[in-house]
Amino acid sequence: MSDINISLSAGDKKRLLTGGKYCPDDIVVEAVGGGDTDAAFEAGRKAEYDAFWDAFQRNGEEYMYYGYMFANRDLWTQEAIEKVKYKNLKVNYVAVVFSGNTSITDLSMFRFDGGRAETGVKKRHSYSSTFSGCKNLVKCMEIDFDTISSCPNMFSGCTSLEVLPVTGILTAGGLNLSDSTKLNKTSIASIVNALSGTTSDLIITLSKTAVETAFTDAEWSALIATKNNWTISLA
Amino acid sequence: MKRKTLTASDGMVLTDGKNYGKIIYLADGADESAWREIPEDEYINDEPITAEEALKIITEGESNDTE
Repeated sequence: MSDINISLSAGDKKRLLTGGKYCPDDIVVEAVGGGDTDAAFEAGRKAEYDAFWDAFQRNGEEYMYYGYMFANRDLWTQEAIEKVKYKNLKVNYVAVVFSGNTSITDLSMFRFDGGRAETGVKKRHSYSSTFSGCKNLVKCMEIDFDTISSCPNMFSGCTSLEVLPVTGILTAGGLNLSDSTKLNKTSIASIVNALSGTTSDLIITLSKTAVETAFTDAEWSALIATKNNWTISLA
Repeated sequence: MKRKTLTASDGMVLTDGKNYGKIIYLADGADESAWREIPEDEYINDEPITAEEALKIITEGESNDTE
């Protein structure tokens, strides 16, 4: 940070020292030590940014309630949400985090960290309506299926969604991507490949339009042939 | 083995009462009779959650961990 020199005229010094009125126009302010007032200003901004986000996100260290946290479309525009300091969101509540936010288009820079049980196993959470109504969301963050206990309406209304990277194994039924008619081939394939091979009586719903756009009949048949324990609905 | 597939008629949607689709690839051993056709205009997809449901979600507490 730069030092700041403030100089007063002789008359003003006298008036100041004697309690008389002085003229602010005579005060000369200059930065020394490089004179980089922009750097000083930016340092101040950075300090305020850190102070705000460290308080808001508890230094990015605590697992916290994120329900509806980024749901407000006017407050959390794409530009605003990219300024979130700790993009690895330590969550003890994943439902409705972005629900109804029609401003956001790209969440690929975020991750959910739902924590681990004492046994070291990843905790599972309800992803109820986590992204529902995010109709302009194109790129979703990577979703770890190992952390999902249930997912009703998780992507309902996500009509622009094209990219949905996934990891882990899905063991919860009810994932419904029927509104995501633009979901790309890589995403669909990775989702189907991530369906648990050991569960039964579970249903996943994909967009018929997205599947028919991305795959030939032969490709699609080959893909789902490995998941005969799942009922797959195209809506 | 080719899996059993149900296809909805024109203007209709298949449902088991909870899930909906135009084409259903049944899992091995799944009960085909659970699915029935309904007119498309009776199919309400992804109803927005109600204020009561939203309130319930919010007031469920700080954690919804299952483990």
